[in-house]
Amino acid sequence: MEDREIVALYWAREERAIAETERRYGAVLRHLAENLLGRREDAEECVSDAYHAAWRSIPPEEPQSLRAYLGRIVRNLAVSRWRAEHAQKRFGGMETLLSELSDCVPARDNVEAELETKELTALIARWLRGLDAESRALFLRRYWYGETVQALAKECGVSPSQMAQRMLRLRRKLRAALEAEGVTV
Amino acid sequence: MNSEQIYEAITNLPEELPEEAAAHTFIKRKRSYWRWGAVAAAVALIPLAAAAILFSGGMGGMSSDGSGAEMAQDSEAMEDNSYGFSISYMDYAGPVFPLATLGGAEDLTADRIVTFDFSPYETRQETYETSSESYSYDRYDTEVKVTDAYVLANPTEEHVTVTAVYPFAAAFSDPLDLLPVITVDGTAVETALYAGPQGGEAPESWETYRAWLSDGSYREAALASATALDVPVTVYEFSALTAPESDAPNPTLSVRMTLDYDRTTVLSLGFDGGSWDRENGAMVRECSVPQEEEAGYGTSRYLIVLGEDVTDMTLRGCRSGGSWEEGSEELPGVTAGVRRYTSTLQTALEDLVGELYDGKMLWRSGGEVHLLAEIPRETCLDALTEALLSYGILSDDPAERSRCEILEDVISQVWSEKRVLYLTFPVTVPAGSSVTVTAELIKDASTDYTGGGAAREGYDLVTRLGSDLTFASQTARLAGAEYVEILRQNFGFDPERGVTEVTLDAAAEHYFIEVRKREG
Repeated sequence: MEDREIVALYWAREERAIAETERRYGAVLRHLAENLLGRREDAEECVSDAYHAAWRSIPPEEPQSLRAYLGRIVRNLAVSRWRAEHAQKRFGGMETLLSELSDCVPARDNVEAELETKELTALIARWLRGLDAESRALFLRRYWYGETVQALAKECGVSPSQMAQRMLRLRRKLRAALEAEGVTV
Repeated sequence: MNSEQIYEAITNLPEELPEEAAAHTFIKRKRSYWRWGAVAAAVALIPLAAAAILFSGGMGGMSSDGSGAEMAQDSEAMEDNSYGFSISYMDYAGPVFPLATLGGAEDLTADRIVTFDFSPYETRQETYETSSESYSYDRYDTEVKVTDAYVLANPTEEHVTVTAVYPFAAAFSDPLDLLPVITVDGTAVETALYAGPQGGEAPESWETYRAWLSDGSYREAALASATALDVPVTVYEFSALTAPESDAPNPTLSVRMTLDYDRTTVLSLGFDGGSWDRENGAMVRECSVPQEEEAGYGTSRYLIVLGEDVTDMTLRGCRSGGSWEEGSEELPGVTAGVRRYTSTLQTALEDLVGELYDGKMLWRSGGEVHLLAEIPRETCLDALTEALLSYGILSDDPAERSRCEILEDVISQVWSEKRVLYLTFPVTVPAGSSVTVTAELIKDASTDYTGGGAAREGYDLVTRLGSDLTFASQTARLAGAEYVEILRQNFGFDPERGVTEVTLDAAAEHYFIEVRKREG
C-alpha cells in the first residue's frame, strides 16, 4: 500500500492504518529506534508510541513521506527518552550520536547571531544539498537514521576506521559551513 | 549551540533528504586481500592458510523490478550463470549449500531432496501494546523453513564412515535459530562448528560464494587455526571503576597519555569516548563509570599498546564526557585500579575473547541470543586476528595503523560479516545400506532493502559447490506456495498446476526463486 493510501486510512480513522504502517515501515522504524536507543525493548516501545503519535496527529497532518514523518517522530521520542534518562547513561546509540555531532558545533569566537532551530535546519539542508550524493547519503544515514559506522563501512566496502574518518571530515565540514555563516544557536 | 540542537535541526530536515538517503546505493570499494598476506609476512608470522585465497567480487548490477513472473530455464544460460538479468541483492542471505564430506565418500551415492516451506508467509495477528492502548496488526515472516535431506547409499560390502560437512552462510551476529539442526536417520547428532574467513566484501550474489569455495582452500582455512599474533604489547588494565555519590550527569573516568603516533598504536576496549591530538602527541580515552545496576559494572577497561609504550599517563574524573576540554568540570573521587603488564597481542586477545564469553558484549545486540553463543572461542579469536591483519592495526595502511583502534569496532565488524560456517559430524553408512542425513534450517530472504516494502524476496541453492558427493539425483520441493506469489525462478515450479516438486538438472550449479507475499 502506498503512503497516500495509508494516510487516507488515518484520515478515515480506520485502525487498519496502524497495521499498514507497521507492514510498510515497521522494520525501518524499529531499526532506526534501535540504532538510537540501543535496546530492542526500548525500540519496540518507541515505535509503538510513534504509531500512537501518528494516529493523533494525522489528521490534521498530511505527510507526503510517511517514512520521514514517522522517522521524525521516532527521533523526537528517542531524544526525549535520552533526556529523561541521561543520568542513568542508557541509550548508548544516542550518546554516541550526540557526541559526534558536538564536532559540528561552531567555536564561540565565530558566533555572531543566535539561530532558531528552523533556520539551523535550513542551513544544514543547504549544506547537504551542496555535497555530492554519496556524502549526503552517508551523513543522513548516520545522523538521521542513526546507522552505525560499522554498518555503513560494510555497505561501502571500506574499513570502519576509514568510514569514521570520513564521518569526522563531514562533521568538520558542517562546522566550517556553520562558522562561515557566522552563526550559532 | 550544542549537539542536541544540531540533532533537532537534522530531525526536521525536509522529507526528501532522508528519503533520498534511504534510496541511495553506495558504490562498494573492493578490499584487496593480497595485502593481508603481505602484512602477515612483514610481521614475521606464518601466513594463514586462508591468506592464499584470492577473493573476487560479486557480479554486481541492478536488481529486478520484480514486476512479473519470469522463467530462466535455458540450460546453457544456467551453465554460464547468465540468466539475462542479474541475481544480486543489497542484503544477500546466501544460498543453501550441499552436504559434503572431508573425504572417503567415493563409494557413496547421494539423493538430495530440498524443500522450501513458505508457510511463515502466512499472515497472523499480533498485538502491539503501549502503556495505555493496544493495536493489533497483521504480521508474517520472510524466513522460510528449509529441509535439506540426503539419502546416502553404500553399495559396497564394507561400512563407510565419513566426516560429513554441512555449510551454511551466516554472520556471528545472526539469530541463533539460523543454526541448522542435523539429524541422521531422524536422530539429532552432535556437531562441531567452524567459521570460514570473511572474504573481503559483503556477498551480493551466489557468485561471491562460488569464488570463495570453488577451490577448497576456504574450507581448509575454516577448519584450520589462525596463526598466533606474537606481537609484543603493553597492556593497561583499569579495574574497579568507582565514582562518588553526586548529581553528575555522567561520571566519567578519563585517561590522558603522551605518545609518538608514528611509533605507537593503541587498541582500546571498554572506552567509549576520547580525543586524538597527533600534533601534540596526546591522546585521551574516557569511559562512563557505571553504577551497580548498570551494564558494564565491575568490568575492566583495557588499553593495549603496540610499539613504544605511552608515557605521562594521567587519570582524572569528570562530571561528564570531554573531560580535558575547556569548561569541563572535574569530579574528584573517581577511581580505578591500574595494572600494567607486558604480553603478546595473541594472549591479550585471548583474555578479551574470554571476557566476551562471559557475556559482556552480547548485550550490545539487544540481548537477543545470537549465533555467537555457539561459536567456539578459538574461532572468534581467529576471526579477530584475521580482521586486525587485513584491515586493522596490523594492516599495511598507515592511516589505519596510526590511529587508536577501538576493539569494539573491529569486533562489531567481525561479528556482522557474512561468511560460511561449517557443521561437521561423523556418519557411518553400513555396507549395502543407506542412511538419511537431514539439515533443517531457517533461511532468511535476500532483499534489496532491509526495511519494509521489499519488492522481492529471494532464496536460492547451489547443487554441487564445495561438495565431493556423487549425486544420483537432486529434487526440489515447494511447500506453503499458497502464501506467496512467484516472481521469477529457474526451478520450474508451477503451483497453480500442481507442480510443487521438480527434478534438478545436475549440470546446473544454481537455482533461485524470488517471491513476494500474496495479498489477501
